[in-house]
Amino acid sequence: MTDTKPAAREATRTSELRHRLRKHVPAAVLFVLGLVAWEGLIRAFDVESFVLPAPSEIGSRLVDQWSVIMSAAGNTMIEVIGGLTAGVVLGVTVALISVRWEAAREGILPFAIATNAMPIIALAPIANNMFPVTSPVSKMTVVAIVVFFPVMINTVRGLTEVGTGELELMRSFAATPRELFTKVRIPSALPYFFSALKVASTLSIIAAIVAEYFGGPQDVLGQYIIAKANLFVFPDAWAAILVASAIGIAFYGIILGAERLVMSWHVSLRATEAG
Amino acid sequence: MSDSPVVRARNLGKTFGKGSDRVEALRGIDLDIESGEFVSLIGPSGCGKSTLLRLIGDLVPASSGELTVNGKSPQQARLDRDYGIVFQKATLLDWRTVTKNVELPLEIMDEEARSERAASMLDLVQLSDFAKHYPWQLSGGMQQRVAIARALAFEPSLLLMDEPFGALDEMTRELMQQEVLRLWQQTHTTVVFVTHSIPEAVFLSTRVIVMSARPGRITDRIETQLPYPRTVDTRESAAYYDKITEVRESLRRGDRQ
Amino acid sequence: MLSFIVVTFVLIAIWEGYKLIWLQMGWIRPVRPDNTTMPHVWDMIIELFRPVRRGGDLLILDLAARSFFTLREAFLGFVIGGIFGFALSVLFVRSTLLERSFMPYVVASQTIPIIAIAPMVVVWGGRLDFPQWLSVAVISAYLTFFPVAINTLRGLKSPDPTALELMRSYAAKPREVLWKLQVPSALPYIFTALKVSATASVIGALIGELPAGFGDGLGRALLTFSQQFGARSVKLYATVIVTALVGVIFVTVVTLVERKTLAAGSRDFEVELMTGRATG
Repeated sequence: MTDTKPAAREATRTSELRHRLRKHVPAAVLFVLGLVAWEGLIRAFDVESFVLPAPSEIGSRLVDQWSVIMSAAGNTMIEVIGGLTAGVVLGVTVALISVRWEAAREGILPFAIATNAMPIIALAPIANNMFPVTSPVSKMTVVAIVVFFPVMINTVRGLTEVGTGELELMRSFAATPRELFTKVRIPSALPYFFSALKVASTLSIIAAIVAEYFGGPQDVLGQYIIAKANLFVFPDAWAAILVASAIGIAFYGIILGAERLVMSWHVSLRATEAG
Repeated sequence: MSDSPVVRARNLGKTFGKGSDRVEALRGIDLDIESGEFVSLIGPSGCGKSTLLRLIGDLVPASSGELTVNGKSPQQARLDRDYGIVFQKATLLDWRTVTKNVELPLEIMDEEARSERAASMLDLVQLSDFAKHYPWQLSGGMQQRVAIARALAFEPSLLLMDEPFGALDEMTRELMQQEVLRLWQQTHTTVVFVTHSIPEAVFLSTRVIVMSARPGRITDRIETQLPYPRTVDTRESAAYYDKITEVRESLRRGDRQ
Repeated sequence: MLSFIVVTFVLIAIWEGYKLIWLQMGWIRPVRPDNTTMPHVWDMIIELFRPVRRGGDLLILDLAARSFFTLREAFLGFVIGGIFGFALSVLFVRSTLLERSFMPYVVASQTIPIIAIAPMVVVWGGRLDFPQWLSVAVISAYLTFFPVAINTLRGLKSPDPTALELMRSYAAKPREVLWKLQVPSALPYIFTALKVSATASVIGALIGELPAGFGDGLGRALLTFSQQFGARSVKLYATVIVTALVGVIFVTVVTLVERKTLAAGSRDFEVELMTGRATG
């Protein structure tokens, strides 16, 4: 309440550590318990592996199939990274354009919102046939479209939702539109951009795998999973699913890290201090 | 030029909206504010005191009448960076440190020696120890002091303050009032100060402009005539209480008209 | 609405313009402008009014039946997922321990490529003697529950602390706090989530139909027409258009219900939820 105490940034390291432990321990405990229970139930009831394989079986299949799955995962990653990059660049570009020209925004934003209501998955077979079937471009296109909308809509939102106080302040400085843009609009859009990126990162892998389902080269995660599932070799399929999911989580983690690096000032990242 | 008032308004009016939504926020404002004055605008909510401040700051255009700032149109005055402004909210940019926030107007004005300037401003508001902190690490009163430092960083001739201490607790508020008076005397800036607190207006100002609502207009002008520097003793003096009573009664009269 | 129509026509103009220019110039990159890869927009529409196969129904009637079928799965998935997501968020708001234990897995669940587990879900459904469309609805629910859980949790946590203290001063039971304070404050959040979920449920139904191995829904039609692409590309495009419409219609219905329920709409939340800001 008084004027002298800044927020407790100098909170001791140990209490921060304790806070983090308290936050993450329950999930870790659940992970171990869940794994043990899963393994135990499968063994106790002798569940067939095409219904649900035991974690140990999935693990051993993962080791066994490691090189095949990794090669497939590598090809899928190429599609994901290509599509994600294209989608983000395109999304940000269109956002910048539509913020610069209000007329463009009037037209584009409602359309983007409506388009987002469409099951974009339906575009996968079209993209697959527009580009040579062996090229990863068709999958990248689907990923890019899926990524484009959240990135664009969120960036527009971040760029336009600047408080009247900030606008009036910059006006009182007689700042140029360009200065308003670089000094206020872009920094305030960063949190929005990053949350879009987090969603986009997990969406992109799912989109790539769905696109793979509609045909193309065999050496990709989607085709691997389908082939194994069609042969009822479900433990192998599960191993590949695990890898796909791990890639998604890794992407998410990388973006989380980048966010912390770029936006250390932001409210959402101050949680540990408050504890 | 030096003799002409810093702010000069003649028959100034402002209307918002059209048709049935039309609201007359200000009517027939005549006001001169001389260089070096500390003028408070006080009145009930809806009396247009903030609007008047915004007209002076060229944040909204006037609907009728004349208004000059330093003998120029408000727009020209804004482009010449004649005034600094402080809102009720500190409106610091979250991603900039305290120093960088103070440097913001200097960057925009292509000022050289920004960091020296910012450092001396932070010294002035006694926040040098917090130069590298981010806004969220500061208390409300400290944030507001940064906002004041930012507004004064480019040495404007006019300081516009829109209920700058409205969100602060009473103790902090009194400290900040003292602080503003000190800055005013050190920098010889002209101040226009919007408030809804009678004691605040009396304590700070050379002159209190009493306003009334529907339509917003000036109903009274009261010279406070209390000697500077004003201190805790001022707050306890009989003259101070008399002035508070005078302003309160004037507000009540204005309301009844 | 008007701008939407304008943009639609602009897109059609770009599509046809691309065809025209690329044909003139003889360009084939990035996309061939021929009538198989990029059929004329009017051909797609005309195709809707031709029989699916010799002597069969008109394509539009066939697709309408399929849309109805897919919408039924999607709607069921939407309801199951919505209830499950809501229940989860109520549990999480009651117990921080539960939230901390399960939340990371709720988020991680969405990184699992649903299309990959769809065949397994169908197998599980088969074991339990589920009809296949019910298994598809479960797959759809898997995508639907997530936005609802995340956004409802945020909504339930949104009331001001003083409002909670007020309820406490009335000695309100947890259930009363939930229904009289938390749920009403969460409504705008929930509707935002439901709009996202509406699209997600259609996507889930489409994906679920792919491995399910039955031919009644839109998903199967997409797969079949895409495999017969060469000759029937117009059919694929027509099907994609209908599928897109199904998604838009579902979202529109949810939006209308929202307008009826909430006096003041929750437009502010619309974008936020749509892009899943909640995950952040």
